[in-house]
Parts: sequence; structure tokens; C-alpha cells
Amino acid sequence: MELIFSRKQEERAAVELDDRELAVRARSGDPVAFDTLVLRKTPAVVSVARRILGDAEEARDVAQLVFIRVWESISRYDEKYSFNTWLYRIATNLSIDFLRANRSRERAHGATLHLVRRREESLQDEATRGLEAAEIAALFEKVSDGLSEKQKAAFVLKEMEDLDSKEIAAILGCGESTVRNHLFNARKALQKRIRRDFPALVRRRKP
Amino acid sequence: MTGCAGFSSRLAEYASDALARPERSALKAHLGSCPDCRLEAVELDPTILFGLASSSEVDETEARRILSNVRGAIAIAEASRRMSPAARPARRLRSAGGIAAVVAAAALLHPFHLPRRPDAAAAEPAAASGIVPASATIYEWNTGADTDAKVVWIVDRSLDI
Repeated sequence: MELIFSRKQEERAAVELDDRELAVRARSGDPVAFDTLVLRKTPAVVSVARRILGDAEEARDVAQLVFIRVWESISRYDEKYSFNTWLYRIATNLSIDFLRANRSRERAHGATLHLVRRREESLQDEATRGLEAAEIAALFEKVSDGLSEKQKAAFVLKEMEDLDSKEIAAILGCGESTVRNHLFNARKALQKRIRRDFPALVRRRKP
Repeated sequence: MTGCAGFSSRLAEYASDALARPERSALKAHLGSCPDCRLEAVELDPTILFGLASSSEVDETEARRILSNVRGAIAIAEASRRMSPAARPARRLRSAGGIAAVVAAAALLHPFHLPRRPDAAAAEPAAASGIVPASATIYEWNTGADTDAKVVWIVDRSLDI
């Protein structure tokens, strides 16, 4: 009982620490710090993986692999750098690996195509009220299938995770200008696809 | 759009990625709550819509399930790596906790498969090393052919796993 009580005290103290402090403690073998990081970062990791992969179940699988990779690599984490950037790099790379395998893309589109089509006609009205998050996610899956893996990852990290170009460059292992190119091309391709396939969404109102 | 002019005038900057993060966040928050500005934004650049979908896809229960799976995978990986012949002796010592966790889990799941031959002689060095909690029970398993112990099992049922 004493051991369990003590662990709960440690858990309470750990939630007060920031990501970097937790990562440093996890690096030195503190299991409570590692667990706290996993619990804290799971929503963000699943979110990135979900949007890159387009499949919720695979996103959860990838999230588990991400944290196992974090545990394997934590000894190499350098606290001079942001833990988030390091974590997102692992999450993005693993998600891209999955995406390249092409399994998730096919499954995701098969599952969501019907939903997207069903919603297509009422998108204009919904845009004014606010689409449900799941519907926006389904729309994104539909229109993003022509993007390259890096374009898609850059767009997800920028628009959905609110990271800046410098952070995205560190995550994707490229220069900021390359990130800006990825974002520009992704945005143009998505706009073109939406205007072609979902014209109701961008229909101009009469002045 | 009373009160929205400040946000509305910044939509082009948002779409061209010219806003700093705090300004982007403020604008996104506004777009999330203002249908008129949201429609104007989507007409300007429909991809803006994707940045407004912030859903909590994982609740705490799901996060704990993922943590549990991660912890299980780590315990198995640690145990298998450290029990492999290639593992160095020093690493084996440090791995006692991980092995103990796995063995404790095995003890809880399959209590009848544990060796039934506690061996005080084999237990002494491990206990004296200080890496084994006093509450732990140490088992030695010998295949029978040699006199040296082949495997030492450390079972600590007080572990919070």
C-alpha cells in the first residue's frame, strides 16, 4: 500500500512539470515522468496520426508505436530542443511510414466516402453553422488524397496542430522554405479539389 | 458583423500564413464562434475550415488504455532483451526491476506456472545486492542437469502494475 500511495503522490507532482522537465526525468529512468508524458501527449499524437492516416484505429496503433519509440530513444533526447518537436517528428515519421504502406489510405477512403458524399449538398449551410469535427475530418480525408506525404504532414502540423514553419521544418527534417512550399502547394491543391468536388462549400453569396 | 471588422480584415493574412501564432489562435477562436466570419473565411480559402476542427479524439480512459499497452510492450521488450544471451551482465543487473514486473504479471495471470522451489542460497546474492525489495520472493529454477541455477525469478506482488 505504501508503494502505491507513494506513486500517486509522485503522479500528482509530475503533472505540475512541463514537458521538457518530464522528458529529462524520463530519460533518467523515472517511470512516473514517462507515464505522465504519455498521458499528456496521447491526444496530440493520436490527432496528428489520425489526420495524416485518415483512420482512427490505425492512429491509436501508431500512437502506441510512437511512445514505444520515445521510450527506446529517450536517452538521446537533448533538452536544448523542444520535446514537442522531437515527439512530433517521431509521430509524423511513423504516420508517413504507415501512409506509404497505403493500407490506411484505402481503408479510410472506403469508410468515409459515403459520409462525405452524403454531406456534400448541405455543406454551404453547415459552413455557416459549423460542421461537426468528424465531418470536417472526413472532408479532409477525401480531398487530401492527392497530396504527397510531406505536403499532407506539413498541412496537418500547420493548420490543425498550430505549429509554425520553423517547428515543422525541424519535425520534417527540411528547411523552412521547403515547408512553405509544401504548405503553399498543399493549400492550392486542396482549394482546387474543394472547388471542383464541393462547389457548394465555396459558393459566393450574392452582394 | 458588428465587432468582427478587426478579424475580418485579417482573413487574407491568415490565409497567406502571414499572422503570428497568437494572432492566428485568436482569429481561429473567433471563426469558431462567429458563423458570418467563418463563411467569409471559407469563401476566401476553404482550407481554413480544416484548421477549425479541434476535436478531443482521445479521452483519459483511452489515453490510459494506450499507456497500459505501451507499458506492457516495454516490459516485454526489456525482459526479452535483457534475458537474451547477448545482454551484458551489467545490463542484466539494471533490468531486475523490469523482469520483476513481467514475472509479477505472469504470477498474477498464471500462478500455477511459477517454480515451486524457493532456494535461499540462490536468493542471498540477489537480496544482498540491494536491487530486490525486501517484500519480494525469489525463486530459483534449475533444469536439473547442472548444479548451477539457470534462472532466478523475482516476484514482487507489491508492484503497482
